[in-house]
Amino acid sequence: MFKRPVANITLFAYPLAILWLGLGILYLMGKGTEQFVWQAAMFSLVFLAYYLLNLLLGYRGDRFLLPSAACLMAIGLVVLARINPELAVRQFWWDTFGVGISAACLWGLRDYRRLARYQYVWALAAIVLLFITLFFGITTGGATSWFKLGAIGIEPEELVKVAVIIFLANYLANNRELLAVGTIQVWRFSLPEPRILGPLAMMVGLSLVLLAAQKSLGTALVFFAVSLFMVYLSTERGMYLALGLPVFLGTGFLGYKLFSHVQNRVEIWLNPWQTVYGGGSQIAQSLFAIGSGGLFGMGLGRGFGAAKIPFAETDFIFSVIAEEFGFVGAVAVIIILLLVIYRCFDIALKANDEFGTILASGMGLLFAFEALIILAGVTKLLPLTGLPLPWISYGGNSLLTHMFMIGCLNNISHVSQRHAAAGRVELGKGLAG
Amino acid sequence: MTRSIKRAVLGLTLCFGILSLGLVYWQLVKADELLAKPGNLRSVYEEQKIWRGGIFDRNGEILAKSYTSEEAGKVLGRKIGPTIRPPGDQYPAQIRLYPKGDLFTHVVGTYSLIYGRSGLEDALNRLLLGLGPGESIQSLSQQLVDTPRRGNDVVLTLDSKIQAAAVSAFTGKSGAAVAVEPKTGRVLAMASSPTFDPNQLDRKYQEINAAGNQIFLNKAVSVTYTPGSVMKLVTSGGLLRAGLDVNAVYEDTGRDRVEANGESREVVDLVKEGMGSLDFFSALARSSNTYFATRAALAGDSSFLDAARRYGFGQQIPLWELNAKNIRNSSIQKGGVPAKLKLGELMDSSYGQAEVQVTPLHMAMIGAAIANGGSMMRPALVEKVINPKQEIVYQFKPEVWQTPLSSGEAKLIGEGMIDAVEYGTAQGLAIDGVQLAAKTGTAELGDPAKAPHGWFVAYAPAEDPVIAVAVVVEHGKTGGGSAGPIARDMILAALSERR
Amino acid sequence: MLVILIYLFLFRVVTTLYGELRSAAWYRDRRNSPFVGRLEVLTTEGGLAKGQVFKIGRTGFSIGRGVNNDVVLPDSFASQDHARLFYKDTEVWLEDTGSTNGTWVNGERIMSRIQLVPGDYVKIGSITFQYTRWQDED
Repeated sequence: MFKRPVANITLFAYPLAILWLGLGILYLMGKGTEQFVWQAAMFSLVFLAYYLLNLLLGYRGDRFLLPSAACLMAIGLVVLARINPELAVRQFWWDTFGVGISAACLWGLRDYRRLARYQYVWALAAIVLLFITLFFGITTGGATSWFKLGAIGIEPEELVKVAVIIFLANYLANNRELLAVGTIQVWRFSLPEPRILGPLAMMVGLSLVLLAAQKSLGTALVFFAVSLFMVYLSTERGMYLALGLPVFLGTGFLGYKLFSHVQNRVEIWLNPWQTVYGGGSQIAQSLFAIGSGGLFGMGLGRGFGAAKIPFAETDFIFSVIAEEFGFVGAVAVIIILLLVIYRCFDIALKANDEFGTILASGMGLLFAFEALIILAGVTKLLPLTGLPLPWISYGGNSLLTHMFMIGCLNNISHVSQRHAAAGRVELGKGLAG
Repeated sequence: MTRSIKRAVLGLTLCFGILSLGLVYWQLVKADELLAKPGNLRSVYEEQKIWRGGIFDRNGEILAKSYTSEEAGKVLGRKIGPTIRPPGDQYPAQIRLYPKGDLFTHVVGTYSLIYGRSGLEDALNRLLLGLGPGESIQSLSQQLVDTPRRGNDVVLTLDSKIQAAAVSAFTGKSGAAVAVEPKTGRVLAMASSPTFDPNQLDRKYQEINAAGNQIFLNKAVSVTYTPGSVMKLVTSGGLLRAGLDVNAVYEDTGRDRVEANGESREVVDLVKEGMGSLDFFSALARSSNTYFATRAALAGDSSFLDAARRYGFGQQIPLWELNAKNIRNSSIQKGGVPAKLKLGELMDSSYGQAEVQVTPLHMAMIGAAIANGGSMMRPALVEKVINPKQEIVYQFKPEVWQTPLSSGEAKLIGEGMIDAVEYGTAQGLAIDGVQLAAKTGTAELGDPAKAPHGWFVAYAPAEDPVIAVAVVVEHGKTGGGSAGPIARDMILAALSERR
Repeated sequence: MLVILIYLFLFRVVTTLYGELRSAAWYRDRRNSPFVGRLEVLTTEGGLAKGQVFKIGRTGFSIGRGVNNDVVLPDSFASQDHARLFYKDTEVWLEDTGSTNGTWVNGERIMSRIQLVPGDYVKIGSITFQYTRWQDED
């Protein structure tokens, strides 16, 4: 047990090693700026400070989650520095700040159950944020998903994700038995009373409608999948999934009929080669990049995709990774993502109350669906819907909320483990007498 | 909840597994296919590691050459802006320039890091890069030794003066012109209009593209046109082979009716009142539809179709210098030569209407075959290829592709073409001191709102031909009026060089 | 190179996780053993021998100066009924049963029952024990 801190520091050292090595390679290719050195130093310091803080305060929770997310951040920073150094400079700030937020959430929150207290505040906050964007938002690329506050662009849908998951977790923790058993018999199914189902349906429905109004289709899809699976996980009733499918198909069909840009996306998905210089260029260039990566990749800084793919720094960052690091690198990224998701569910299984379990698995589901939808999009398995790849893509809003969730998850894990050893004094504090 | 969470984890793992399989598919299975797709410029970037060879005309004038930025600035007389470079490239920047501007745009083609390659730049890419057999562009990317490599220089059969005559005569019109040397098959000029300056392609792509009118197509080989009366050169071949009495007189009254095999079909001439008494020569010279339609109907569809086959209809023209996929076949019906034609189809086809389609290159070769005593030579664009050590690694040798006519038949058709210049449809285009042989064509398009295409096929001097030309002017109305002067300019350019 | 580092990280995670799994397996094995842990005497002011080991069985035991206890401590600072060790939910727990001088773990007096972790120092009266996992010595 005294070996623990040693194991921890190697886990914490890898992300930093990836970051410095990557920046070093870029520097040797003449692509670094001096600013990166002190920014990376600052990031490393904050990261190590977090480690020391955990050591001092006797962190007992999951050891892998933060280092894994940090690995993804490090990979993201290196690739961003290679694609567009200016954006990397900004992303360094976000990442450093994100680690801080994660620490603040872990230690400042004390107990995640405090999040549960304001169930309807979260719901209200989510709806209000979406309304604000809808009316005051700025439209880019067909979607109205952000507005400006001073010099900083705010993308409320990222914050809304957290709010909705917390709301749902608490709501489901309180009502899961009623939802699972049901009181009204309809043919062979027993459905819960509308009084129970009402808030859930309203909350999810309203969020979806608002997102659809903003045309943030990717986010709407993630929301729908996450809420559906959260209900399934907490009730253990496959019926909810079975009900969700026709609703999904129906909405998808309606969306296809109503929005021209949805039809456009589907057409491009079916045949991107026809408009290789036009609408299909994104997906075509993405596939060209992925294809030229081969098994071991072109090498960092040697790919063409970074310059050729539109939105290489956000939606298509994975294509750049696949080209420059090859199949092995791309799969490594997928494995780390999967590792983060596994840890979420591991925390969920070990949490000692239902709210904790549902909250942790909700966050795990969110990470999973975000990653799946965008990765399937850039590899042409599904029509493309723009979403950031968690921790890797450029974007402050997404990063901060995801690091907040990492903090929450660590908190759940820590509180659960502490609870298992209620009243324990801290390890290694000295000998008796 | 444990059970459902475990199920969800399993499901998600499966999804990520499928995703990884997707990567296997694109990165390992489909990688080569993706590399070859249009719009993927990775191999073009790789080629920058080799100093690309130049393209020259038959007199050694530069048609396309790679320069360093300083040299390019001097050649163009202006400063070269930032060039598009492959990322992370340590090779000197090559700037591909076309000193002749818009003269050779379609045949020589373009070489752009943004829009890829076309024309000879595309088809002769491996030669220009000097790639050995089995050596691929991709293998270059693995070569870490950066020995500077040079490609081969290519000397073409094209002649800048004739090409310039064609392009300047085409100003304001659209269509295509091809000139060939009848005895050897050397292509002397190949122009497609409208054209653009390939040096401006990267900077003004949108503008050029907006001009439309198939501006990126080499209309000489990639577009087929309805031939109209120039088809009578092919029909004549069939009639003569079927034993037509060239001196038999036919009364052209402006319209005629043929009944055969229970079918009945009327043909109407362009000249309503008729052309009076016609023999074969005057019928060809004055281009009588009734004469050829009725004679073809009497000779039967097989003699017409056999002639078409002998002339190379329905076959790929063996111009290996250009990409085969860009060379369209001439055809009688449905992209080929059918086994049979109905009476109406035969009669309409005999004067180049119905579904008959030809490329300007093929039409020039038909003219050249008549000029060359009935032998149709394989067309050639490359005279020789010279490697960096100044060794000639390829030298063109003339070879016969088809023999559609006997020398006697060719001579008879040639006489009709001389008559066309003397007193027929090509009157007024005669050249002093040189005997010109010509055939005009006016191709109706089936849509009365659209003016017909004008055709002109000619060769000169008639007694010892050095050039055969085919010109088509889209919506140019009569061939003599629109295409004729262009062909005449080209022939004059060729003859002036000879003197 | 970068990719190798990423895989090293993954390798590290896997080995650590494997270690955790092994200890979990060890805990499972322990369930079949009649003993769940051991208390070893580290320091003593007479009475008990240094290095003496008390095996902790599934039923746990009570500790105190009184002879009714399972483990009798000949120590003047220990109370009659001092503390109790018991086994619950695969863990070993320690509870003070109303001692005067208190039961100390790793230098702090415990106020309620706590779960022992291998390596913990337990001080009762003037005697210090170290709690370790049960290992079959034979």
